[in-house]
Amino acid sequence: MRILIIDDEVEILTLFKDFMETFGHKVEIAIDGDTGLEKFRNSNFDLVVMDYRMHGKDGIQVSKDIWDIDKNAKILFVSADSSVKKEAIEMGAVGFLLKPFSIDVLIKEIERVSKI
Amino acid sequence: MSNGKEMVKKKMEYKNKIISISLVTASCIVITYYFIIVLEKGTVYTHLFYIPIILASLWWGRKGIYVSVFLSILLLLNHLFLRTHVLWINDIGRALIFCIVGFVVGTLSERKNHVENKLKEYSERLEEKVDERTKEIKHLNLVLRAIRKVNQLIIKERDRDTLIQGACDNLIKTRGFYNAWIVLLDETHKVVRTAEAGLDKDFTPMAEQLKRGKLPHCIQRALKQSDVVVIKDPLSICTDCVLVEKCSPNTGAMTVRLECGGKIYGVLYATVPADFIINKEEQILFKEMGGDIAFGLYSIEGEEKHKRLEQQREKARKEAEFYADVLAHDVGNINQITMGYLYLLQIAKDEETKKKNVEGIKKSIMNSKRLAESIKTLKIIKDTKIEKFDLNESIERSIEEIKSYFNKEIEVKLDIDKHYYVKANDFLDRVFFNILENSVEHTFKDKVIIDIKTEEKDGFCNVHIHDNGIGVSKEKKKDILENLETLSKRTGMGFYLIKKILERFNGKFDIMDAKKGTEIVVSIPVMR
Repeated sequence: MRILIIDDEVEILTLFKDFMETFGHKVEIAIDGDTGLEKFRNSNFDLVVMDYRMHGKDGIQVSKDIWDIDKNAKILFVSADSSVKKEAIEMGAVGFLLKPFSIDVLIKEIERVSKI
Repeated sequence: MSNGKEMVKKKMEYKNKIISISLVTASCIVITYYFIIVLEKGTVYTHLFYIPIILASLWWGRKGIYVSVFLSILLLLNHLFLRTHVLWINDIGRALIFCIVGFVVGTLSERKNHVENKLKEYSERLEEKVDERTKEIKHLNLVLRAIRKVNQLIIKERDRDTLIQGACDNLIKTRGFYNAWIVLLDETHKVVRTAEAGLDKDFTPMAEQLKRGKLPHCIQRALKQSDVVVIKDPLSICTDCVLVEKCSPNTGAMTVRLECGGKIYGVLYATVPADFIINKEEQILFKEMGGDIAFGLYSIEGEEKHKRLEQQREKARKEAEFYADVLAHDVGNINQITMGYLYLLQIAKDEETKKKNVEGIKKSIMNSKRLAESIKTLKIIKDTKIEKFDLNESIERSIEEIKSYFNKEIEVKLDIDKHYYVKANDFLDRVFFNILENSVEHTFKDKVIIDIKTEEKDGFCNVHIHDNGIGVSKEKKKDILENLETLSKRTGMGFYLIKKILERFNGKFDIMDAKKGTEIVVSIPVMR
């Protein structure tokens, strides 16, 4: 799968990238919403894994912009705040993972989403 | 004028009485001699003599006896020359009766006059008393009206200045008092507020004296006693008071402390007509008024305290919410990173990868420790002491620390123009470390290059920290500078901590528009 990860925490970006690549996915990373949008516009991605809360544009704004570009885009939200899960799903996210989660969970979630 | 008229009237009355008595006496004499000489009848009509005798005695009291004596002598002379045929004893008896009647009537008349005068005197005194009481009642009514207005003010007024000014104005407006002023004091009896009415600019010297902390004797006395301090004659007692010239001879002064709930808020002073000042009711009402004003101040204080507590509670609630959000974000991320390294450690095959992941876990644990320290710093920073702090050493320590913290090639180019001492403390190291950490984390190059430059401007040392990282977007910059608290809930407390520490030093930070990388300027007050 081609996956775009958007998170303002550098270390999380690099770690997620490493795991996903280990599992054979092709991964791009973006440190903020604008960079992520730019990358999404210029390439095709099967899944966007995005932090819900970020500097500048937050996850909600970026997801709306992404769906403006591709209304079928699959977005998987990750956040340390459980209270936003309902909102994320209602908005149209394909999944929501509450930080911290194990890598197995992430990989399984990616597998699940790929079948949708 | 009225006394002069009275005198003239009395003189006229006296003259008329003399004339009347003279005429009546003369008539009696003429009638008597008419009978004796013309009609040659020996009968003497002495009964007529009683008219002038009684009139004289009624008008002049015992002095009227002269008329009796005169008529008695006349009767005896008449007997000697014209009535020799009558026995002496008859006329002597008549003459004696004249004198006795004159004396008795005169005495009774005097007593009657005396009683009348006494009654008149009592009546006048009674009238005076009634007038006095009427005046007192009128004055007390004015004071009661003032109390009612002050009470109305207390119910609706929630501002101290307006309350005490309104109270003074009402005391004067109702005309119960000549002038009034209130002094509010703190716990150390330092003057914090004053209000006056009826003195205007004349109060300025007293206001200045109070500002200097010199309390007049009446206030000092009032603060020591719960009863009203009554000064009947300020002109002779308060000779050293700056307001003594404003007192007229018939002015008295009252002072009472404003006390409620065991706390003394200040003192109420007022001048009143001296006649009323000794009145106990007046003093009781004045004390009551002081109590009412103190109650108003007590209520305002209570409401302010309640409001403050509400604000503190709201602040604490927001702070707790902020910490909860920040912790959820930062702890979530730290734990996520730890989980990531643990997973990588589990699947690592070579020793080098294992070592790298163990280092990652260690770093996460350190980050967790730093997060706890950051929260502690936020709690204590506002109470920390500011001292003369070596800026250059702080920068150098932070560089050393950041180099040992990251397993990355970091080059720091220093351009320090001179040795700076700033108004700060140990927490300044934390500011530089956080900024440098941010630079390293957002530089995705093999080598992180950071330029640090210092310059002095307007009493501040500006430390420019410029990296070769990915830079900062306009939106993010705006968020950091204008909306940091909300941003921190989403992105962690790094910059929030920097801001709070710098605020404690009266310093600040700014993000400059850099062509490449990020340039942050930290400004801290220089200490000479």
